[in-house]
Amino acid sequence: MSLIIPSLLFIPLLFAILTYVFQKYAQMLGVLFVFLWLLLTLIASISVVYEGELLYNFGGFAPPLGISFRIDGLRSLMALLSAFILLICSIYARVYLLASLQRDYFPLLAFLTLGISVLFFSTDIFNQYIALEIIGISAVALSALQKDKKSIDAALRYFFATLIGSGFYLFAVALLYLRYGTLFIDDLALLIENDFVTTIAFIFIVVGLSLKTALFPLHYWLPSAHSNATTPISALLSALVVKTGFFLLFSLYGELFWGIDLFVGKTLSYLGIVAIFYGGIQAFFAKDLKLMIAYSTISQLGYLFLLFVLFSPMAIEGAFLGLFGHSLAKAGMFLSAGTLIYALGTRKISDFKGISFVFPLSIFAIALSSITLIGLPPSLGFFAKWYYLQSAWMQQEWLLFSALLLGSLLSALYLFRFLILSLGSQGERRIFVKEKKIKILEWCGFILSLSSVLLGMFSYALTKMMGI
Amino acid sequence: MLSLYPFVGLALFVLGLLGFILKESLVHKLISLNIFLSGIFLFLVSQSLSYEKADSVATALVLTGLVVTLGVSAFGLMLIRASYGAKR
Repeated sequence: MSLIIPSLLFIPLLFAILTYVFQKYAQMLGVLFVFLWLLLTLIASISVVYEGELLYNFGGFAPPLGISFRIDGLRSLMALLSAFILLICSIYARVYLLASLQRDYFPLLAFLTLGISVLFFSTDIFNQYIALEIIGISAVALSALQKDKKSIDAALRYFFATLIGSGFYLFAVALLYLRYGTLFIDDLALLIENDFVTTIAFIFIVVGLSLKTALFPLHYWLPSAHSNATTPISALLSALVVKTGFFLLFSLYGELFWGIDLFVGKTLSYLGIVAIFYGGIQAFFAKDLKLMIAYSTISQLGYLFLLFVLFSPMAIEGAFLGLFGHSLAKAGMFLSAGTLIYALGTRKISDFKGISFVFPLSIFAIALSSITLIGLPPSLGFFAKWYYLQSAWMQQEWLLFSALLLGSLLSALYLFRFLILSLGSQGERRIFVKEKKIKILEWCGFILSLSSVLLGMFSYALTKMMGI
Repeated sequence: MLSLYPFVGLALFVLGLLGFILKESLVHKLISLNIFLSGIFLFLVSQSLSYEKADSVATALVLTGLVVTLGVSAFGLMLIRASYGAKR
């Protein structure tokens, strides 16, 4: 069992190099890799359940001399979730993308996985900076995969945003190292004090990571990057990449800054409330299907940031249930919408009138995703909001309480607008692309959306596994 | 002893950030970003030098950061070239 952590880190690195060197077999190796990675994260989660936290010190040196990697319940669940989404998106990409694009897709995907696993498991704040850079660069490269003008320009904006974000994080790491002389997160947690340098470092971390997670005033890069990327990549970006920034912010806030924070957590939460409404309103008025889903991501990310004012165990469980639900639902929604866009050759929402008669499975998948995003039972989104509402109630945060309720209403508005249109009567007859591969694409989106609803029934087990 | 280098580092940090926000051209933005990151490295390495002897961890961090910045800048230049060259 002691080999599980090194293999979680080295398998993505190995396959990133292999798929790049042996381009002829890239597709086969890539599919092998995503299955292997799901298996590994499954083994890691099971062993965390039975044996408790896993620890591994590289080279046998314990920190602060060496670098240790740690897997606890929450981290193993995050890894398992990302492995599942990576698998479904890769199967989709295997069918959807041209063969020449797949040769670029799989190495970048393996590098993205490497970054994700380092970010989740490392206990060293500088290592996490490296992970942020790996994730950022591979995500930018993935979003420019199509090589057309629009996606490259969107990727450039994303590139600059992600670089400034990690630069801010690096500056904060430098300040913390100069102040405390260590980079190991457990040592920092013991040493940390409420002084000027620490506060400055904290603010830089918050600004940098909010830029990466697209919190409201710093979200400008997200809609264009997520809507102009090719479909399986939009799903990956919305479901996983933005969540990594949030996870890092959460873990640093929880372990280091929670005790000394006076105003930053509150500010983050209120910005989250603004994001919920801004994203929802923009999604309601969007004319392009993928743009609508991208704005919905901004709105849903706002819910995650409500965590920082509550920060009780129950709110943390709610936030992560919401994160899982949103990741699965949004990936499923992007994949289903991408299938429809591929079949119709258009992205305008008004062109999808009556489409449910032709592609019922995709519309059903989008409806299931909508259930999670609105927060109707028994989906994960429902339990997330339920946990959130309870802890907002107990802490007398009435602004948050009402924002949660009104936010659900707003998501219902923009999601039903699309569903009603697509379920309505058919307009003039059009020619659709009917190929065998459409069936596979439809099922990929459906599996993700369905799991976001069904997992809600296991939400109690999930919160137990998080171990908060 | 009060050294000048940390202040130069901070000044580069701020100037780079300002240049990034104010400049329109993509190449200008990339160069400003490099100045911004160099500012961070200079600040880190000079502050850690102000103890009795050089701090090897800080030096290693800066070296790693420089390598990352090199790779990132090369990637950014390729993206910018692709953006100017791509067909609509």
